[in-house]
Amino acid sequence: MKISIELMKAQVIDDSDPNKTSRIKIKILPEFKDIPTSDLPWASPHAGLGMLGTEFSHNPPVKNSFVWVYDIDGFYQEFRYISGQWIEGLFDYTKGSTPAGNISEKTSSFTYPDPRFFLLPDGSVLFYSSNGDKGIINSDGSYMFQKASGAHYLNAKANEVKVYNNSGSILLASNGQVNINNGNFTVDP
Amino acid sequence: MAIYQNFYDIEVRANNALIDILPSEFSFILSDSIHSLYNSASFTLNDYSGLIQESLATVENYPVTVRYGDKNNYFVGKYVINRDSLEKANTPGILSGPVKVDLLPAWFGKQQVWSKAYANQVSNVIKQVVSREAFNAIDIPDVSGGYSTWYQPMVTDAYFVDNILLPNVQADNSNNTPFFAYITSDYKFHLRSFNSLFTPLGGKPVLAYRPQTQNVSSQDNISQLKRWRAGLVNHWKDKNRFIYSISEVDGSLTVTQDNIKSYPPTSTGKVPIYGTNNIPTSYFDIGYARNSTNGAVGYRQAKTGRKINSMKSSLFMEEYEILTPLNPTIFSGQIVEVDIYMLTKDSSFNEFSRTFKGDFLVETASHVWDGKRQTGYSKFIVGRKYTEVPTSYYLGSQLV
Repeated sequence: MKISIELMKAQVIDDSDPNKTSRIKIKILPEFKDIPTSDLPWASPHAGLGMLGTEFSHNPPVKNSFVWVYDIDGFYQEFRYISGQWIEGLFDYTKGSTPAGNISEKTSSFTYPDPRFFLLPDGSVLFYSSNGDKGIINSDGSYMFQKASGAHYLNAKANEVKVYNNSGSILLASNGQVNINNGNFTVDP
Repeated sequence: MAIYQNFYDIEVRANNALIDILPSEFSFILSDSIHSLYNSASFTLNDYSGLIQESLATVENYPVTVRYGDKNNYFVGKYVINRDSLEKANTPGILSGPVKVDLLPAWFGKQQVWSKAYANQVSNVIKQVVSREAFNAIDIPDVSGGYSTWYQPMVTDAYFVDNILLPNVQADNSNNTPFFAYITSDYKFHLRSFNSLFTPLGGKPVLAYRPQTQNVSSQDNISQLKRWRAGLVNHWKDKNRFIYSISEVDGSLTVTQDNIKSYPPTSTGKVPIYGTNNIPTSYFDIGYARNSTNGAVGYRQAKTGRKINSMKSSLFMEEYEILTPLNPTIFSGQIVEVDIYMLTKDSSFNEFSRTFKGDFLVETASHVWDGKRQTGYSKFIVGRKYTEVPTSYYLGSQLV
């Protein structure tokens, strides 16, 4: 099946696909500018990771974001989207580099283009660096961080940390108290 | 109004003001074709003083109506001026001489681009769109499938009809034949399947290419005739096709076959191609195919329409160009019976040709008046797909 792709820019009007197949409702701009929301088409993912029943991704672009789309049949009946469309005013590199750079255990200071990162809707940043550092830092500053050397760091800020397996657990409570195996051994801060 | 030797009657109005026409100084061509959405026209008038041009009476988009016919049959076409040109200035110093004015249907000059969605069958969307224009009639007899939401993406109505909707038209009663959208010189819009065109409700005109022994002067007399076949190069790809589709449910590939005799299917007529082998000569990719569990019926019908409409090139295997006296009653899209004779054993011409006589569809109709030469004629390109071959003909059994 051979298709010709002519990309069109579109805005995501809805990311809640009633079929639960990662589709998004799109408004192609300017071609669909006057079409009511109820009549707008659903576009399926271009799906760069492939779409087997055993291997696929679900990461539709969020509502109001901008995407590239193409019309697979040439008659405006079947659309695919490519996420996402770069709009300069919406892009801010420091939203990822600043939180990741605040992790004190990082191997070295990040220098553009590091860190590579994904800014998530709640403000947390999923990142990795070309030196092997990787982790996730939340908007409140808490983080999970793994150095290239294999060292692991977890900073829950004012929240508790619990590590456990099938036989026992270690709880670092929010007040700093350490509890091992559900009260068998407790150490105050 | 100008009547010439009771031969034709033409009246041209520019923005509703009558233009005074002297037939000997006036020429025109009115043309329509099932292969073109727009009909066209042009006329040449002699601007002796140059004042017609000076007064800007032939500027672009100026409305023009043309009434054309004879005493018994006439029609009114609505146009706008596409362009004008002075062919050759006759008088030094001023712009006088023959001015050629090319016309487009009035619809052209009124269209805006729209950003719209229409949830309906394809033919109903076309009807809805063309109803924005005051055509003299809208002729859409077939009820098509293809219910879907159809998008007009900031394009004109004509572009939308011709490029987005027309390839998707399919109707259960069209006998698997492609559709044509066209405007005739009488300013009627037509959306017709090949099947419905070939099964007219009324009678059909007879045009006869008569031997000299039957010298007849009448409007149905063919004065000149050319014949040709479409050519193997043009329709070899239509001979046998693989039809592929990919399931949207599980990604599996499905293949079926069709051939040049599938559109429309027939068990009697012969396609005039020698050779009966079934080697595949092309393929048609439907793309993703939804089934009853994951797709609407209209979506599948539209894709069936694309498959059928892609076979337009196979419909006119034999064509004639025929010239008759000016005949305002025939437009493109009509069926005509073309009578052609053959030489018989007694060297007479009393029998019709068994191969070449038959019903043909008028693909293109042009009505021409040459004022300078004071001659007028109608030129028709007519075509057909199937030939009724007598069983006694040796090659009959070996044609497709």
